[in-house]
Amino acid sequence: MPTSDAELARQALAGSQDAYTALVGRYAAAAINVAARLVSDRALAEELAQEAFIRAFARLDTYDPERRFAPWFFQVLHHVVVDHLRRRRVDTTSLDALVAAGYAGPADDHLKSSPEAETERRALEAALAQALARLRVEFREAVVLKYQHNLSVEDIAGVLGVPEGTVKTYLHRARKQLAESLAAAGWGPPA
Amino acid sequence: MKQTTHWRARTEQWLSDEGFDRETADEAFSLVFTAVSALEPSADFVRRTVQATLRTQERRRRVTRSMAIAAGMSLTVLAAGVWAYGLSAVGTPGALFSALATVAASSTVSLLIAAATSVEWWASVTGASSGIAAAFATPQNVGALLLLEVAAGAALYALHRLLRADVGFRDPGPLCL
Repeated sequence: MPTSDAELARQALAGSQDAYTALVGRYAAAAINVAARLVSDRALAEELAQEAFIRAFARLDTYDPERRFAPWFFQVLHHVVVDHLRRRRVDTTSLDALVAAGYAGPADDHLKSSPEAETERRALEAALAQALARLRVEFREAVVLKYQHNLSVEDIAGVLGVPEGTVKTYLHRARKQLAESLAAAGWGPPA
Repeated sequence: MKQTTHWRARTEQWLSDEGFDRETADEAFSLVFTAVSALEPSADFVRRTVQATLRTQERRRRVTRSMAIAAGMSLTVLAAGVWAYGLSAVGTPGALFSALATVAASSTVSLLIAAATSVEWWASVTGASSGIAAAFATPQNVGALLLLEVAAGAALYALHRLLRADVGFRDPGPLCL
C-alpha cells in the first residue's frame, strides 16, 4: 500500500530526504500543469513549481496531517504564482506553444486507438487551450484544479482564498465562456 | 457529411447541456476536459527541486546561525562595555552588582515600555521599508513613479506660467482708483 501524503510529509519534516523526494515526485506534474496554465510558459512553470516546493518544505510544520495534502500544496503554489504575476505582467494570451510542447498523450487511452479520434482530440485540446488562455486567471485556475486535478469546490475555495459560492460562480462563468469560444470555433452541434 | 468522433460528440453534448442544466453540463464538460493532456515534468525536475530545497535550507540555517553569532557577540561586547564603565565609575565588582540590581529593580517598568515601543517602531519601519522596496522592485514601477514625477512637475510649471500670465494681463480697473 503506498505511503500517504501526510505520512510522507511527517517523515520529510523529521528529516527524511527520501520522503520529501517522493512527495515532490508525486506532485511535480500537477504543480507544473497548474502553473503552466496560469503563466503560459513551460520553463517558467517549472521554476514556479520548484519555488512552490521549496516554500512548502519551509512551511511543512504548518501543514495539518488531518487534512488532505493536495489543497494545502496547491494553496502554496497559488501564492507563488500570484506573487509572480504581481511582480511581472505575463503574456497569458497564447498557449499554442504549450499545446505543442511535450505532452504525454491523452488521458483517455481508449480514444487514442483511432488516428481520426487522436487528430480530433488534438484539435479539441488546441481549441480548449486557446479558450482557456482567454479566461481570467482565477477562472482558469479554478477550472484546472477542478477538471484536471479533481479538487472539490471546498478545496478550491481554500486554495484561492474565496468563499465556495464564488468558486461556483467562477466555474459557471468559465464554462460559459469556454462554451462560447468553442461554439465560435466550430465545435457546436449542427444547426 | 462530417464524420462524428467521440470528441466531437462529447463536445456537442456539453455545448447542448450548457444552456439547460448546470450539473449535466458540469459532467459533460468533465468528459470534454479529458482531451487536455498533462505536461510531464522534465527528466531531472524532482532531483533539481530536492537539491534546490536542501540548498535553500542550508542557506537559511547558515544565515540564522550567523545572525545568532552576531547578536551574541554584540550582547557580549555591550555587556563588557557596561561592566567596564560600571567598574570605572563604582570601583568594586560587588558595588557594581548592587548598583545594577538597584537600577534594574527601579526601572523594570520603564524598560518594558521602552522595549514595547521599540518593537512597535521596528514593525512600522519594517512595513514602510518593505513597501518602498516593493515599489522599487520592478522597472515598471520605477518608470511609473518617474512618469508621475514628470507629470506633476509639468503641471506645476504650467500652473506657474498661467498664474504669471494672469497677473501680467490683469486689468487693475476701478480697484486702483
